[in-house]
Amino acid sequence: MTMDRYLRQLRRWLGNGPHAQRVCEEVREHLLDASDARQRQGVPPADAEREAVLRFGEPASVAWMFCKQAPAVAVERIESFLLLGSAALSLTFAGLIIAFGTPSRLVRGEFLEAWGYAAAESLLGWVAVAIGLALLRPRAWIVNVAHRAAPFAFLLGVTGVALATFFGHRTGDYEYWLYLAHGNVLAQGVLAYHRFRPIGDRTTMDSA
Amino acid sequence: MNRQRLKGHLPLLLLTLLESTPAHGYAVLEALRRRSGGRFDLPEGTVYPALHRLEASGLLHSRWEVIAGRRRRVYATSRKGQDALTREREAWADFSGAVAAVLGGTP
Repeated sequence: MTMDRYLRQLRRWLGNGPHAQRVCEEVREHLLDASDARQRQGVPPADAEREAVLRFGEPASVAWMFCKQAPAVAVERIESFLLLGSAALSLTFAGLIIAFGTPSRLVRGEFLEAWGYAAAESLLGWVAVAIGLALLRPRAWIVNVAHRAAPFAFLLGVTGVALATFFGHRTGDYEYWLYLAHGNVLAQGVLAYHRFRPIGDRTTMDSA
Repeated sequence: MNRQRLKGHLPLLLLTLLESTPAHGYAVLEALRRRSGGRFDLPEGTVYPALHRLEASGLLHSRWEVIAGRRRRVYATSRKGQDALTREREAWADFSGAVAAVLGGTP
């Protein structure tokens, strides 16, 4: 594999944040050094580059070690994931309200009340997004997610909440499910924060 | 040398190597290889995540520098890292002394 291809693959695994950029730049410099050293020993340039890349390790493994060991990388990757997840959750709420709440109210001639209600509920959804973003800062949560390869679990959680909201709506009590869902997101974040200490607070080398 | 065993000691080794002389990742790897007589020969991709984690823990700090016309990320031990290194050195001396005593002792 050439160095450029290796770096492209690494970048794909790491994402596009500023930390990913720093990692790729460092790795690039390292590969150039390693390749130069081999060339000084008489290895042809193409072979020297290939050997340097080979010795560095598989891009996916290297990226995983960064995500596992350097929280900042995971922060960038998971932050965007959580943001999208929260936004999707909020839009799901808004969609459910508009799709199922509004028409029945329109039939009953409660036009303004129905749309006002939908807007208020959507606003509540975005408040949940804001709370979710505020909770992203504690690295403990991110470390937890990265450590346990939990993006998939998070996705399942979001799906579960959306389904619960939907079926809650079908029973006619969707507003209560909505609050339950938001409370659940908040509680998960708070629990994660209290359960895991932020890495930056640790002083022993065991944690490093 | 068992790589898993070495990985457990990597933070201590990296802090030691960077204690007196700030260096970029490749130079750290070279020093590790040289000072261990070639016995510590890790996959190179494993060292950078360890450096980043030490930095995230506040034991190292780093900055970009231009060396020989190339931009390098240079790492150095922080004050907190120096303190941690002193503690870990004492702990290691204590531990290795105890292991040596057990291994070398008579049953």
